[in-house]
Amino acid sequence: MAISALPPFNGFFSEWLCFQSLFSGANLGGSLGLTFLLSAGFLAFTSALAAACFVKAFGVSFLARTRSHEAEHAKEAGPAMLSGMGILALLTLVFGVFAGSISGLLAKTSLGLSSLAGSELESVFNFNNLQTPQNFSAVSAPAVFSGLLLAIGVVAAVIYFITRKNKVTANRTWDCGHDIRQGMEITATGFARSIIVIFRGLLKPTKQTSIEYHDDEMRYFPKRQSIDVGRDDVYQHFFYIPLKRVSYWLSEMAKKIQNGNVNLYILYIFATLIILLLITVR
Amino acid sequence: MTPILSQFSYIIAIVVFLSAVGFHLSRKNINLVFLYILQSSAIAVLLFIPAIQEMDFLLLLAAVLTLAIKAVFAPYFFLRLIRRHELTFTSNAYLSLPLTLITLALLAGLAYSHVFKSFVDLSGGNMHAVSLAIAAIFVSIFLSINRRGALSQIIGVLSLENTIVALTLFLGVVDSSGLDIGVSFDIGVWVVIAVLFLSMIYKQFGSLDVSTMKKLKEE
Amino acid sequence: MTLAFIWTIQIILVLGLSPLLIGIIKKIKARLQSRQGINLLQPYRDLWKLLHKDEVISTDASWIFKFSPYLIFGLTIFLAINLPVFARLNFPYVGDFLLVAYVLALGTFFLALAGLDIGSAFGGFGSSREMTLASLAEGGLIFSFLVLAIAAKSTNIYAIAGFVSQASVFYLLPIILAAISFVMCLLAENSRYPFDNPSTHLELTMVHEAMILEYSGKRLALIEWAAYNKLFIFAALAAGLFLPFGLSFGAGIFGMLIYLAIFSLKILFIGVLVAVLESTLAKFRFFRLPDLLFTAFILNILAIVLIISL
Repeated sequence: MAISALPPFNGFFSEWLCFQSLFSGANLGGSLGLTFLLSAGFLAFTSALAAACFVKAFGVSFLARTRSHEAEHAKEAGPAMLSGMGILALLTLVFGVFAGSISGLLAKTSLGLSSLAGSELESVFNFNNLQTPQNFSAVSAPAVFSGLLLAIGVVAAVIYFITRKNKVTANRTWDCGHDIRQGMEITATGFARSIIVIFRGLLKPTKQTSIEYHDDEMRYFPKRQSIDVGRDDVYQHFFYIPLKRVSYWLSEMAKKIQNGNVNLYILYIFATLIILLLITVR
Repeated sequence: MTPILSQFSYIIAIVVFLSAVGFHLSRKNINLVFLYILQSSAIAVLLFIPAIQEMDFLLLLAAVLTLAIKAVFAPYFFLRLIRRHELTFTSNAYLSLPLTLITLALLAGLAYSHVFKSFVDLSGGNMHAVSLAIAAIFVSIFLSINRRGALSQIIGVLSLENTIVALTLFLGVVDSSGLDIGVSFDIGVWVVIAVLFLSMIYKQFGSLDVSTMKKLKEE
Repeated sequence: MTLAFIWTIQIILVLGLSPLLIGIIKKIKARLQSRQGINLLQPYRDLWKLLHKDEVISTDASWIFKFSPYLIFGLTIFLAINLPVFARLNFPYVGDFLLVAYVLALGTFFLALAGLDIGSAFGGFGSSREMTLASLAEGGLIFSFLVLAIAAKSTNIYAIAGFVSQASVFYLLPIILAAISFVMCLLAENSRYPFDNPSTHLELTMVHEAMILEYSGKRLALIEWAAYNKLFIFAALAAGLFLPFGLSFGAGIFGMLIYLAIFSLKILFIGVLVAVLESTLAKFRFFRLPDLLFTAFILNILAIVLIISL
């Protein structure tokens, strides 16, 4: 949740500060302001896509029924490993709630860096609130955290009181009358496929189907069918392969110059000599 | 230029600009024609203001003639063409919708940039309306570039004429009523001929998509 | 007028009036389809009935399934505090629009996880579609706030509302463009036409409904009520940011009552607008929706370009 920049964790507050600096840059106007503005747009899209990515990653790995044999026999790790992870997770929450004080501390360290010497850090940290100059915006981390906790707590208490006489039973997931089978859950490939299709200009997805029929001549009843979905590597496709093609082409051109004929080499030396004489002697 | 007048001309400029952007977003030919009626009515309102202020009969005549030809006569011909050949949907554009809108945003940025600063300084009280009219001119030109259907291109050219009239009015350039009457008459005759021509094209090629008109000579 | 008093009133308004807003929208849609439609108070009765029903929870569900409804409903209560209902409020630490946008994203995150948690085919693809649409609508939503924030030189919603109520007419075009794209994002985030059909019973056409298919009893009541609250919150934001009339009637009881009446009229107007839009548009094919959302985003960029050069 912290990576996806969701409140009240630390990722949200660092992204908030990032947005503030981009917004203040967008006020500059002209092409510079437009660049800041577009970067803010990309940041918004990135955080939303990151949230989608982590729903997929967490959901496919941990939720619902197992999706592979190894996962069926997985056991919980020992207390040492759990506490290591647990402390880090708790720190994301702590850094998030006390974002104001921690940003103040970080600002003091950045004062010593020479590369940031010309620009002053513009934010003002006021007790535990984050605030930007000229009162452009402010957010209070502890208020967010306590507000959320209070709201959820009150809701849980009220609902428990209202519905304490209701029963809760456990049963199978609704399966439209068929038996629940392992293939019914969504997989990570399926989850992300919509996004890949939307951005197919950039991501270049590939799909390969192969079908084996019972009767090869009639081709009515398939015996086995397989679909391979894949994704072309973006950097290879757009950057490295064109670069390779250009350098091959240049080498081919260079090859024509050196074709092994001695007369041609003497001609090169003679022509260079004449051109140099014409240029330098005026 | 009183503040109320400059605010009013800004609102008219908004209507002109939004209808120009609306041409790009519409998929049916009928929507194109209705947006054109809206735009022409806005221009006619703009022409009525100095006519009523100065009580000049010729200016009034020019305004009424513009309204009659652009908002009644030309759309009637277009609607007749659409109904006769049942051309409900307009042909595709070369750029997809998001790319079209990005180009429009860039063109609007160009109209508001330093390139046209000198133009804007000429105008006096009407600064925002002038910049918006320049942006609308670019948007209309882009409509003719981006669309494949012949009807969209014709509307693009007519919209270009509307926005140029808007620009001259916002700049406060005095134009004689004779000019307006002459322009309206030209537009009327042109629309009749163009609609006739479109009819002939449709009968010959089967669609108004200009990229299908490859074989122009009888062989 | 203390802060706590105002917040309590806002929470009661949001929780109490949101089912009524949904009832009004459904009634208008039914009338436009020449049907009688449900009683206006029927959503209240539905919530009451669901709260008193027993629940069935799937054996595959984990703590996320059980916990999500409380979280999502609590989030809507937290957001109710951030509404610009009484714009004289000047508490600068709550009411930042980035906070509002990301708290909504938090709710969507947990709803999508709950959809994955039950392991049915519908929940899976519902979550996939919802996260795809949310990731594209997020940019449009943040930027429609940003248009107004750059014009008002503050990201606090109360300050923005105050600014728009006295803006000169030269800000009209950017505000219109931002309003158009905010309405598009409102339809996307609240699962309305043309993005999703909120009353469909065909699982293949569901986005929001598919994720909550497995919920029953009190948890379903909480999630449905949270969805109603979300629409009310969006409508209140639109009313406060884009239709800021009647904010200055003084701080007494009488002024407050007048302002509440004007606020209800604005919310009603937005409800009617949503109902009319839903009745005139068809649900789009799923892969045409990104075009719509990109359009909303680019209209905002156009509006910001216009504001910066003002």
